[in-house]
Amino acid sequence: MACNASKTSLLRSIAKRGYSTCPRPAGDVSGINVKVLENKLVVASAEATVPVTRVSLVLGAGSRNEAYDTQGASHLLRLAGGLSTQNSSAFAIARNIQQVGGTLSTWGDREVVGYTVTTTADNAETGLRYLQDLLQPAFKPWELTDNAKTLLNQLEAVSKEQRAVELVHKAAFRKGLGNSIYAPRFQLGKLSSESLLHYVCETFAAGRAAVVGVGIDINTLSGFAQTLQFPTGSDKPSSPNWYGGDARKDTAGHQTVVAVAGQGGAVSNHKEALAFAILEQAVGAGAATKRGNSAGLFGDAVACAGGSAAVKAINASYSDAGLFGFVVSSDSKDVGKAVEFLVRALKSGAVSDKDVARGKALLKARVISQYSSDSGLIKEVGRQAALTRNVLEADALLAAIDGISQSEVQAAAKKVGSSKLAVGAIGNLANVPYASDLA
Amino acid sequence: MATSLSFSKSIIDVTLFHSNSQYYSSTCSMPWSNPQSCSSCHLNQIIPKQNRRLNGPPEYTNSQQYLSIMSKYLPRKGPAIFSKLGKWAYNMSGFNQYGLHRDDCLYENEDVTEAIRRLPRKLYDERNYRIMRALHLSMTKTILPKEQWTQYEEDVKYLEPYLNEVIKEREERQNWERSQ
Repeated sequence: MACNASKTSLLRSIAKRGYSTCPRPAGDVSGINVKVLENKLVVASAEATVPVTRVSLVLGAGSRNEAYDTQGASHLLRLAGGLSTQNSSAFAIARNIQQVGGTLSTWGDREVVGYTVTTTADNAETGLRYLQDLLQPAFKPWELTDNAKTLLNQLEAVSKEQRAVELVHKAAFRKGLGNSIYAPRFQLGKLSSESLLHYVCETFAAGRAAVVGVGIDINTLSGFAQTLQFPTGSDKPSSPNWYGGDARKDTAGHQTVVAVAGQGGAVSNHKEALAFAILEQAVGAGAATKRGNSAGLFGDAVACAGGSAAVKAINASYSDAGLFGFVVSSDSKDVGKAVEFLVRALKSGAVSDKDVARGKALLKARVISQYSSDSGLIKEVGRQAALTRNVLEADALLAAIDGISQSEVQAAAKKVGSSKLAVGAIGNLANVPYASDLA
Repeated sequence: MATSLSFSKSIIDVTLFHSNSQYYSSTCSMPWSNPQSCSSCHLNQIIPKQNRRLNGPPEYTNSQQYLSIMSKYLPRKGPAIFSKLGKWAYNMSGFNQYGLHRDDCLYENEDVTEAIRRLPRKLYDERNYRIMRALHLSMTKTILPKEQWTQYEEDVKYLEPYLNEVIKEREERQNWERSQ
């Protein structure tokens, strides 16, 4: 019955804090345990004493692994959190997790797909029992057709800014990292169960996966991870090339969203990646207030251009490549000038030490806020464990940020300024320049 | 089902089909083509391949742990337990004279309707073909020639795996509702 869900054994309630207390004050960070199993699976756990247990199964099955014919497979993998698996039906997974008051969510980006189950600490076994089934999705054909409308809804809900970012990735990397995280419309209904199962077989390898937990101790989590059966998987995708160029989508209306990017820093080069992250906050952090202007180089460029434009810097650091630029949203008449000014700012790479200091402070605040909430922490730990096979504590990350000098940030700015630009634009493109015009 | 079975019916040339003396031609495509020469559904594995027009599913490397979803739905061919009494009862029931399989004749309750909805396109089309042909035969008060009757040993229980799954899911739902 439902009331059994809230019973907790006496010892457990003494060992863990009660439900009514706040887990811990924001800004307070704690230790992370990392263990690597024999099958190269990374197991990481943090915060074993909080009353809410989150366990995430993170798999290296993001959209960069898709071939041309399997575009959209990773989107369907994210949808598969709600579909049947080889061992349990969708009904069983949903109802059992709901019955103990838990939730199952999926998340993903270009490199990883994650399934996170959140329950109270005493119901963690139920959550784990159904999480392990998600490693073997069934992709029943009728379930795929029944959920076609859901997939379409998800595509309709993508904002124009996000679409511009997907387009600039396409222009920059073409295949691999250029694949969108959303399934392209021509693929709806075309991906068969067999091709999806083949995709799962290739990408769900233990050497590219991680099992991470917040609110569960490392021994329990390792014991659970030992029981998981991973397919053999295939090789990691090859290192991407940077192409640059245009990806444009004309739509009706007056609004235009343009994303322009140059080469950024890869995570494999830690210092460069951090320098780019600081640069992102230094030049185009986004407004601190609602309807405000963003400070920094990009904000000034937009103010000079006049008109009404909203700009935000984009910085994406993947395992072996990166992308840095801006995305600007404006009326179609003003966008040409705004993009021109912004590209001039991007190429100039002028970063003062005040900018760098502001960038560092903003980045540290973001890191701390990610690490201090359970939901942010599990995503952060999951990504790091799956991609870099190790997890940095918040202190180590903050120290590394402090260790970046202004010259490194300026070098990053010069790198992006001198690279071939990629332009992704959507909306009314009458006044949007091409990449060759911006060179 | 027809109660008057005549064993010496001649083949009626129907204009709906191609003008071969057979009821179905191997040159035209579905739904009038020979259901026994299908090449991409799993029935292929139990019926000898004849005109293999389509390539089969692509070969996958790394297939040790690759589980084809369709391999779980391989149907039975023939009876569970072969018996002479069973064979006599099968022939007496007469649906095989219309070229139907047992699963074509099931009463369409909710479970069966859902199982039919889940059939792969090929099986669904073949089922519809057989039923339409049987309706036509019934309307014209005739039956298939004896060599085209479904045999007791050849009767494919194609719907059974899907139906079992539908029933299992419904029972899981009902048990859940009961126990809550």
